[in-house]
Amino acid sequence: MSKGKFTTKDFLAQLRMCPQLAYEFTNEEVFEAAKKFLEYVGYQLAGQDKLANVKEKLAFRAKRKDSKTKVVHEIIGVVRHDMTEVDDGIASLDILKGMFGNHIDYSIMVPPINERYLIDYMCKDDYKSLKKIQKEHYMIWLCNPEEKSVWSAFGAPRDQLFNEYFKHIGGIEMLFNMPFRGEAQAIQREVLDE
Amino acid sequence: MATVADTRKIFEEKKLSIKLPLQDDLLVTKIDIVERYTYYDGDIHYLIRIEYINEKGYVAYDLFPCEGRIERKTPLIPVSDIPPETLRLEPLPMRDGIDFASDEQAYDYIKMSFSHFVKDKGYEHLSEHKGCDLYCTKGSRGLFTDFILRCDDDALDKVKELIELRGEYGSSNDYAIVFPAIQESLSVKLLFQENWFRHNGEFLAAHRICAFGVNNSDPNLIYPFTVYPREKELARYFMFTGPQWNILRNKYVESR
Repeated sequence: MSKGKFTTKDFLAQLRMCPQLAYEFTNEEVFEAAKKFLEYVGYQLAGQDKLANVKEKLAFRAKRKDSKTKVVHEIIGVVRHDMTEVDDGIASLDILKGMFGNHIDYSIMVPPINERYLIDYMCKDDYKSLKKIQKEHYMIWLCNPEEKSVWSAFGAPRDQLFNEYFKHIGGIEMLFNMPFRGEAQAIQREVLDE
Repeated sequence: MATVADTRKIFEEKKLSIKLPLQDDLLVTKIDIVERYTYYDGDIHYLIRIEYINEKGYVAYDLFPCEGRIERKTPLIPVSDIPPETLRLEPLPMRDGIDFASDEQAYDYIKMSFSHFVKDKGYEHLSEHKGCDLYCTKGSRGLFTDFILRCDDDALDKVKELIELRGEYGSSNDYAIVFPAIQESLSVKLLFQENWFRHNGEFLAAHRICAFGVNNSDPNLIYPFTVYPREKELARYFMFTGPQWNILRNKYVESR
């Protein structure tokens, strides 16, 4: 037993950062699982030639016609390995959105990532990424190939049927209060003062 | 640009009572809902942030708690608030013990119990179906059921078959596995059974596969283990019986 006083600093020094990825999956595994998930929901995958002029190796496009409303829902997704690649994924989605238009849902597929990293990513640079994702209506899906489950951690698709198949209903914004305004700290201070 | 008076008028039209200690002629530039909470009886509480141009001509903002009501055509009552209806059919006779002499006896027991239960809840057209042991319908909603005797790897295979059926027939139907609530006489320890659920429960819930355990001595009592079915009457029943499983389990652990 040490003679010195055990301080919070000592305690924090003993903590290790948890790894970013909750499971190790390759991009190909995530890609296949995402395609299977879309088929599970009832989507039909378009051929890769539709996305041939995009420099994305692992990108998919799928559509579903709602039998009741006759609305055709369409989704395009790209796969990224972790949160460090999400910015690159957003740039790819910007290009795809420019090509295919606003009426399609756009998603970035990543394997299950510890929530801490998701939140940190969104909070950095004064919620810049979160603002961008919300403005463009992009989604970030966490896809677990082992469990064959998908969760839309950020954003939600227009097609309500996905709610029946996602692992959880609602994104991470619902779990954590994430105000993204520039003066968020000022608001918090006001609330605390009251 | 709207003034504070306009804002107050708009809130009044929306049946929201809000007390704004601001001059009526100030200009409002932005309104944000910071927090919202809706109660089942129709009450709503909001925390609103209003940005306005103050007397000095600068942009200022303030937080205002407000409350109101939402008029619903039909009152929103949580399913669990209504107790389930009593049995319509004649109840099945109780068993003397909780042990099963053979697999066949256990299988027949849970099949009889669950068939009686779904008939009682208004399900019709009970039949076998490709990929599952029992299929029945209530209105447009179907229920695909597999009977399993033990929570083990074979049960997981059955679950995977149900997931395939869900992919084929869609989420407008319910999917369930049914098993004896206590499987120790079938060589599955309660600890193993609970570990099985700890390990696979999330997987089942992610795919909305219900898991129902039939009381070993009372065939009229069934407990839920994962998610509730979407059919309201069934959901109401299982919300009622769910907490009873813990009581039964604790009694069983004490008695053995």
